[in-house]
Amino acid sequence: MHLGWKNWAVFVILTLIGAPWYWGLLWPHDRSLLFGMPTWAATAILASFVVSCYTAWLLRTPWDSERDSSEGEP
Amino acid sequence: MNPELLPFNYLELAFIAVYMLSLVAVGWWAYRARRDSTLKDFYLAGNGIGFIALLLTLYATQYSGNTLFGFSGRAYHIGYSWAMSIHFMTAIVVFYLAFAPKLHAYARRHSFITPTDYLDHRFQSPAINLLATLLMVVAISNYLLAQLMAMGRALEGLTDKVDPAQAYTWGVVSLALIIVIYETLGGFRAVVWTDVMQGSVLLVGFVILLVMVFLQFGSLESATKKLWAEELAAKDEAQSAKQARQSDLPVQKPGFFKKPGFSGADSELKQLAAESAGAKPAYKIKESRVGPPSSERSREWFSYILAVGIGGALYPQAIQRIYAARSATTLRRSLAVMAFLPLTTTLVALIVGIVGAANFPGLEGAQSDKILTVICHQIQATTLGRWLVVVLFSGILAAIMSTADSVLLSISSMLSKDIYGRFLAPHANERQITKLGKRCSWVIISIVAPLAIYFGLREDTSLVKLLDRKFDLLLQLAPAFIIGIHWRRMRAGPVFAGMAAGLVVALPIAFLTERGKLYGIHPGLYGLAVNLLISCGGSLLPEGAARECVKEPVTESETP
Repeated sequence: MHLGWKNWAVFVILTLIGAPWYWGLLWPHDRSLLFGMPTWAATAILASFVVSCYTAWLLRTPWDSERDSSEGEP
Repeated sequence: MNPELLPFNYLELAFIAVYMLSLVAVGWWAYRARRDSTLKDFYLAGNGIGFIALLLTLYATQYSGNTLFGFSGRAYHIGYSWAMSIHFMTAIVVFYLAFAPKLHAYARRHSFITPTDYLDHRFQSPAINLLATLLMVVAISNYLLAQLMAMGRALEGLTDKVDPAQAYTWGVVSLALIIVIYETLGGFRAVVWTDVMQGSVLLVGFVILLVMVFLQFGSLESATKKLWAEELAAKDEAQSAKQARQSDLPVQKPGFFKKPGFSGADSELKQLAAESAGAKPAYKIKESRVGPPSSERSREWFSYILAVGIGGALYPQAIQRIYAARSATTLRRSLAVMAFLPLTTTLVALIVGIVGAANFPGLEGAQSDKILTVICHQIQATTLGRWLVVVLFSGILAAIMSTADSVLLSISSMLSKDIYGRFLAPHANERQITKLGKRCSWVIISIVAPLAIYFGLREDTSLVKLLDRKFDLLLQLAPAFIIGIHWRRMRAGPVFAGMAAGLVVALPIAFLTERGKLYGIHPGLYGLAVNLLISCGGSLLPEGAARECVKEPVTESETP
């Protein structure tokens, strides 16, 4: 398994969305709630969930060592 | 009664005692299951860890006393900005992708036991071996110290019949003793088997905690609105006081509803704010717990993702679990599940901290680490609540002990194999090194436990502060592990120089700056920047120019 720059770019974009540095600049008076928490916090948590899904999706591919050797689940 | 106490009756204490003794029994069982007296069997259980065991041991090791006490305390302190914890715990799994597949393959091929075995194989430099081993030992000794302190804090409130300081001391001593007994009996096998128990109890504990918090204190929405209303009322009152000072007029009650920016339709929030406006908050609001993060907090957010993501992936005990996986498939599947576990763990700690902040304001500094105990105290009011707290408390102890045992085993393996076996007694056989490793565990515990008692009783050392320092050290290993495993031109000399320079940069910033961070960035990241520049830049120079004299040990077939 080798992650290319595109995979890392996806992680960077998701991190930039997930860390709400922009929220105070774009919506300084926003006091809306989503799932019982401020919308910016819910957005951050949802972004983290997407990172988890993407990571798990990348991990669905067998690694080189699984293909090259005979090792596997007994 | 003191809300920081969580008094258990004798039956409940007996339940906890039986659970603790069962861990020693597992240690004995693992001792009986040993196959031989080799280092591989004692420190990696013969590389035979399957999917469920690997997942639960990774989970129990990664999530610790910090997660429950430190993270809920931090969420209490800074509010929703601590959602960053979910990101940085996920980032650990992301950074595993950068090196774990190759490291696992090398470990199987060359029978690595400790993280230094990889470094030795890759760079063949005694200087790197020594510096990296010392760096890892110091970093995770700090972590062990934090776990022992968390043990003391967990037990200090269990009875109102004993002085809390005395209970803290006994908590540290007794739990440390249990850990060192089962660990020296069964080694990695005992640690993994107890981790399976502890990881399961921990998962159940988090679910119970979440349910109990919502049943007892209401929805997350009500807690959020309460915090928001309090903050707005406090801000409004401060403005009124300022205006009164300027015009020398008596202070008026806050005109909250006229406040620009809060003219929305949320009448419930206005009502709460109006109610809060009459009474002064019992604490000074330093920063918003519900508003989006400030620019400094945002920098800290990115800093945590990098520092904990990279540093956490390089925990020696985690690297040894990569080695111990039965197969690459097992490791890959375990990591895929691990990617989702922050949402079941750190998110719960965040919610607990928020609900705690809304309902129990006023805890400061290390006191905020006790918010979980304060919440459990309230839940204990009913019989069902009492027993749910007992199960939850078992989960808390499980989290702390499972991390502490893994760290202790990892330190003992590095001291015995990498320091004693590599430098002091190169001709020692595996049986001698294993025996020394067991003795090391007892020596380490007898040093760290008194330190935990000393720092714990001073009550000025927050768990998250301790957590931060170890990452500053572990980050300096990143070029050697994450880049060195892929890039064959990376050489020993620049890697050693980079590691040393990174430490020279990071440590003064860590200890000389007021909050242990510079502009909200972890000192280890400044060190890592210098480290990368030297290790990569130096490796790009022609070998003669870099005065490199260490030969490249990795064969062509092993490099990308």
